[in-house]
Amino acid sequence: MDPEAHSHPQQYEPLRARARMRPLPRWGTAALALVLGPLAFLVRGSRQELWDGGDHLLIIEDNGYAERYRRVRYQEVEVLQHWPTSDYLQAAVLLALGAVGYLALAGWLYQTTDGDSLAIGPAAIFGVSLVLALASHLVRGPTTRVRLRTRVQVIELPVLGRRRLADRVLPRLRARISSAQEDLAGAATAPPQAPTGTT
Amino acid sequence: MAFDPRRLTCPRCQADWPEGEAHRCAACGFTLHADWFPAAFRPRTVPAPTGAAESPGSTTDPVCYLHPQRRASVPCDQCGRLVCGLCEVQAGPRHLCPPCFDAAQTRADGELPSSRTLYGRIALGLSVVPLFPPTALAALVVLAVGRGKPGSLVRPSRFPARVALVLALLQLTAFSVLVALAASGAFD
Repeated sequence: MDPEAHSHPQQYEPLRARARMRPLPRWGTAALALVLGPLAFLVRGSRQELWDGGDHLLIIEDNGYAERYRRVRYQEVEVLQHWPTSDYLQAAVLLALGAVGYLALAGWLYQTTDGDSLAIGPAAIFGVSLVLALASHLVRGPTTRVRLRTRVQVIELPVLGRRRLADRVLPRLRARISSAQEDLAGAATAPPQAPTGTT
Repeated sequence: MAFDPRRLTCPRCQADWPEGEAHRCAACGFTLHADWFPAAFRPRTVPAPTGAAESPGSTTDPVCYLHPQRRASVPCDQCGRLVCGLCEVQAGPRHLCPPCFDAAQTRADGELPSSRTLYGRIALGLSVVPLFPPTALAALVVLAVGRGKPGSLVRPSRFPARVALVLALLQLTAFSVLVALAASGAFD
């Protein structure tokens, strides 16, 4: 037992990874936006952040009024997996279809009713909000999923849902984990198929 | 199959992911990047049982950090260490190891808190709601309740609480002035 962990406060360093948790997958939010327009983007979960606690990774879930903390000790991380997902393409296609559809509807109503239809405004607002959401989605880049396994659990890190962010944070995590397990490297049994460390 | 939180599976076909495999699922060919660390390959030998009351694990099971001869069943929700069923203390929905449980018992807010309420932000949220004076008073009550309690573990700034205090006091002052003006007949 390490009494240090229970007697001294930790100093944390930000890993600059912060994102909203999603109650729906990206394509689900995009599909909801086709029906609810800009209101769909208000359906958001709590914010997740990653902080480096020296010997552990601190995962913070922040709902705005309280923070919940989870700790994963670097020494116990066995594997870190990440892979690209198709969310990026699916959400982009849905948002683009919705934007084109609503803007076309607004234009068609404007043409056929000489601008008298009350539906022109809402259709234009829906179309423009979908265009903005599409632009934001494209700018933030491709999507990915990251998870890590310790001896007793597999933990998803939805905060690293964008490849650009994951590419920035994962090397730091790998370095921390490798450094924490330096003493294990010699004693560990060789892996059956791949060398230890990064891919 | 029962859900096993320790089971690492292929994201596509849900087959068990082979130990040490860095790229490809043997069952469906799905590719990903996996970084394996020495912890995955360290010997996990659990000593033979020493008594009938023991519940030793198999040679591939993780072990409790307080009892290396016992199989770990859960991670401590506070410090993340692995503990066995004997050590695990159930505190509501949380599983704690004995040191973290002791810390939680002896101090309302231990060194390794699992959550913290952000009173400053709650007060700020109330103080910007334009329903004064009730929300301003509520903000002051929240600030009083949270006084002396630690804020965010990673951002211990008191700035939101100070802004909330100023806004709430401004609202109450403005309300008092309006009441005084109304009482003096200034609006007649």
